[in-house]
Amino acid sequence: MGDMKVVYFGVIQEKVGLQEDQVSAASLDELRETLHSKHDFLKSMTYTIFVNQNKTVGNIPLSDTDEVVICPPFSGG
Amino acid sequence: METKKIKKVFKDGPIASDFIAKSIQNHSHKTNIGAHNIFLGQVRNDLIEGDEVVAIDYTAAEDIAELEFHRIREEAFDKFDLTCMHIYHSLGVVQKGEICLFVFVSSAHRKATFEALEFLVEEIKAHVPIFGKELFEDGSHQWKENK
Repeated sequence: MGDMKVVYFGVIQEKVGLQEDQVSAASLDELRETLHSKHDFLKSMTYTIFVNQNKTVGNIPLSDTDEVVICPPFSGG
Repeated sequence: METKKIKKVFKDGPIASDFIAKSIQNHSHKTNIGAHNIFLGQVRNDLIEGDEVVAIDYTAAEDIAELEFHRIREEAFDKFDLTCMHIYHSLGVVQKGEICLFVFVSSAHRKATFEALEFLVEEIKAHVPIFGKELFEDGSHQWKENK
């Protein structure tokens, strides 16, 4: 299994110290687990996940061609 | 058809007052319009533990944000009897007192514009992945969160 692209924004990008990363995960739950173990602060914050530009809640299977975007709370306007 | 193409929303830096004036002027030939309504979001000098916010640096998940702006526009056109709709949001640094959001709706009659404007602003704040970094005078910062 390859690695999929994970892109970070806002305060998450700042805390992770990367704009994007390559992460290996077969499902969204697995990705959350991996990210939480790599970046402890994510466990205690609310964030939104987009998979291939679609807001995604719950668990779905992932493949290494998927692009995942992780967003902190929005503050536009 | 105006509602079908994805319009560019983001502008670099603040939204200038002459741009807003020009946008209004551009509608003078659309004589079926009887009411315009405008919302302007302005960067506020919040005091946070004694530190004054002097600017907000905006970033966005741009591709997703443009899609979301498009969805919100389409929904507003479906819900309200609008003739025109324009949305602009800043990216990059906007100083306190400068405009960062410009929402402009037009209709034959006033009621649709009031309702549509509130809908649009609330949807934008809740659903568009834009991130504001509040910059303080001493060079420190914190990340803003919409309530």
